[in-house]
Amino acid sequence: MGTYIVRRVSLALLIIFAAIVGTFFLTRLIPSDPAMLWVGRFASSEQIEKAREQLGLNDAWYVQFVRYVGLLLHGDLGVSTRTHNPVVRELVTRLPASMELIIFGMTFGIVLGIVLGCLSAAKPNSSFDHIARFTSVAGVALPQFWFAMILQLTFGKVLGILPLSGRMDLRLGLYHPVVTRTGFFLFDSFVSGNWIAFQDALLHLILPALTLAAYPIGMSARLMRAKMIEVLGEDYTRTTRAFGIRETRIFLVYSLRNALGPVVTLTAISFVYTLIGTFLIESIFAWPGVGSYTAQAILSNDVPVILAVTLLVAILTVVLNLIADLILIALDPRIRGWEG
Amino acid sequence: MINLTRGLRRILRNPLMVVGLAGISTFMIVAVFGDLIQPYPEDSRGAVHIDEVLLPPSSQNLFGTTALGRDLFSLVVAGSRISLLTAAITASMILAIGVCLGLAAGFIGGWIEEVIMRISDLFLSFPSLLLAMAITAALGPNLRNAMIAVAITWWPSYCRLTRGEVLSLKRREFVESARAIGASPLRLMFRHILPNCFAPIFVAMMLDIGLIILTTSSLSFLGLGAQSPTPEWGLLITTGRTQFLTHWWVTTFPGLALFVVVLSFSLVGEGLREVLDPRMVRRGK
Repeated sequence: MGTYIVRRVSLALLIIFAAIVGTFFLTRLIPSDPAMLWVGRFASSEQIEKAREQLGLNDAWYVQFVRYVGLLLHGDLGVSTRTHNPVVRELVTRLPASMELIIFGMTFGIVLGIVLGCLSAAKPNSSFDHIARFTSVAGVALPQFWFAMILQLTFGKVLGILPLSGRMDLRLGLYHPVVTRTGFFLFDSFVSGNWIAFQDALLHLILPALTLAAYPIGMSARLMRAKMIEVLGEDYTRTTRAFGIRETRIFLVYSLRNALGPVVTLTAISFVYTLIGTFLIESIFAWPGVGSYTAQAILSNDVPVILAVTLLVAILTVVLNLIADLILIALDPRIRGWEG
Repeated sequence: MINLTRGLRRILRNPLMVVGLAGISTFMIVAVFGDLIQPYPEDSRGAVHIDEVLLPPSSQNLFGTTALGRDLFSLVVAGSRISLLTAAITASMILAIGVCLGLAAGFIGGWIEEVIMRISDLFLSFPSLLLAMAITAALGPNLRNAMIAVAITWWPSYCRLTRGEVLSLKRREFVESARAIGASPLRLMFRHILPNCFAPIFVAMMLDIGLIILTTSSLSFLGLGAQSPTPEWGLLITTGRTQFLTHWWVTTFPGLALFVVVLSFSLVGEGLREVLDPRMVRRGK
């Protein structure tokens, strides 16, 4: 088992290094000139040349690569060509907004999905099961950007009960300003007892979080159903049944515990998918997070930002997959046995 | 044969599968006979009608008209063919790369297998939409590059799948006996092993094809795929973004078409997987 973990971790490190090399060469494929983007449209050729020198674009590619890796190791992801601010700082200021949205949406989605999946597995092939499975497939197949618009149209425009976009009403910032501590508006307003702001932040959160939740609902419901049906058919479940333990107890205590672990880990991996989904969702809801920032960067060809986000997401994926694998090993003694 | 009829009966007993099959057939028919169905075929080729801008749905314009006065129903119908072609071409690219490399990795083994599998691990570590976005940004935004980008991000899972199948088939008796009577490696690969990999690959493709359509449309929505005046669904939605709050139909109908098609493929894929998964057959009943 020890060697397996060592192999798994070194593979993860190798992939991260390859991702760094990959992103570096990807930017060299991008046809636009970074120096030109840096100085803007109305610059003279001298200014472009100066920027080129300043950005080190005249150096050989390996010099640029070594410098890139060196900066990365110092936690420097470069400077945005659009805003001329360090990418790391821009991402950090926008991170709380995205995290608030993702935590809310995913928790809601996973819990609802698990409940749906359990109810489905309790009576397979009943009409409730068919409806629940239809919902779970639909959740994964739903075009998020379209669903977001439908929600805006229904709840924001026609019913008029929820705000269309943004993270907080602009007027509130004047009359009931939130004291920023963590950047999580819900938490900050709650701690400072600013109820009006808390309520407003919550109302703004509902629609984007609901859009975001569609995928985790579908994902976890589907997995939960399959896992529960599998566990309920295992020999050890038959044994518990033979011991005369009540069916509800078998279902809620013994089977649920066995099915829950893998489902939560696997759904947590879909975290990265959710993160990418925020690119679309945040831009539609004008949510000031990392997603809308990246979407903007893509449209304005802001290479350092695209590069930084691609790399960070790749690293995050590798790390999450690694953690998920290790948790699965810890949970399931059978894997421990045969992986050596 | 008995298996086939039993499988067919299982399929028809699953209502989700029936709904999905109905959706796919409708989509195929609309995509193939689109030219006959479109009431205003010139609109999907870029005609502009200044006097018919943003009309609500009516008997003349079933889905209303767009900001350029185009009949939305014609555009959505024309878009179905684009989606079908996109899906077919992208899927062929994915299969061509993934299955060939998987076959090579599983059959030849050794360092070739190691290299191919590590490369596919690398690709799998990037989320597909993000990688596709980065690649289209690099290659330049148009539908062809979007399809190439999606194919580049998607082949590794088919490579893995094929390799796994090949590894289990390689040692089977019928392959051994073919080898014993002197069949060449190429013949073993393409005549004896590959045909037996088709079922799982087919099921995986059914599950994925909807998501391929969705990913390509998402790229178009971000402005990285199809360009105007192509009546691609994702592009139709993104062009309607500025008007949809006051003119609901401009984004609702193209999105609905996209959703129904993706959903139909997913339902069928999901149903097929259950029919073919022996664990589900035994326990799910």
